[in-house]
Amino acid sequence: MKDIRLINAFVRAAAETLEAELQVPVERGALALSGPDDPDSPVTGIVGLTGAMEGAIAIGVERATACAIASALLGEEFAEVTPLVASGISEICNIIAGRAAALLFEIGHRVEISPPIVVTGQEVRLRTVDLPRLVVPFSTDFGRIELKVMAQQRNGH
Amino acid sequence: MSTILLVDDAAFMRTRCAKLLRDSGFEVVEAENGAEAVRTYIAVKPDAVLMDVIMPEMDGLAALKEIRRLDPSARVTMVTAMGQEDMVLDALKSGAKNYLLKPFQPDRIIEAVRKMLG
Repeated sequence: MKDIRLINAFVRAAAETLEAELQVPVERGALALSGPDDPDSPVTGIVGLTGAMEGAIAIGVERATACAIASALLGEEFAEVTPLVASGISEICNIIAGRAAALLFEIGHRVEISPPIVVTGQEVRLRTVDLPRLVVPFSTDFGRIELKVMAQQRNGH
Repeated sequence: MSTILLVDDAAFMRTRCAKLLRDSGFEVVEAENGAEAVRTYIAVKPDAVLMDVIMPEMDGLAALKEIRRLDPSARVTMVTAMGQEDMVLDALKSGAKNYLLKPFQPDRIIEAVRKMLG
């Protein structure tokens, strides 16, 4: 990625969104590169990016973390990853992408985002072909939450 | 009791927002995309609308314009993750009464609804 401010926008958006949504302290871990065959989280929300950046971002959590987040935010107990629980993770990913798009717009990069999707399962693997996969973990009282930025700056932007 | 049409493709957000509105004394009807929002608006004639922007089938801005074309007095607040200035301006020019940015802020949602109901 040519401009480090692009990745910073997603990291900042994730930290701000998680703190605001979850109402708990959020501690950011070190940024790392993930390999194309590394497994993804059992509950992963994904939002596509077009415009100044192409690719996607993802938010991944363990099943227990997804249930804990939904239970806290909806005020009822969830012991399994229902479609409603999974929708919570995709919505958090959507809000992070939207916030990042607003931050990027402020520095002159227009990024469009797609409606979010969510995948669940024990063997989730997102194939991103040649796109780099940057991973930023966040520690919360609900468990570990991973932000993955699988995108690159488009030529001419 | 005032009726609020809640439009969002995310079931989680609809559930969360509907609970908040019902707990605050409002009746709630839901739609999960813009096209369904327009149909529900015609059928139910709600007192106010809370609507997401990015949705499949028909997005929130298109639905806002259609609802306002059908009912120029429609009271609609956009609730969205998308905060680009031009998108906000487009919504306001198209007749949105307010534009709330996610993350979910219960106080601001209730305040926006009460403002719309005036």
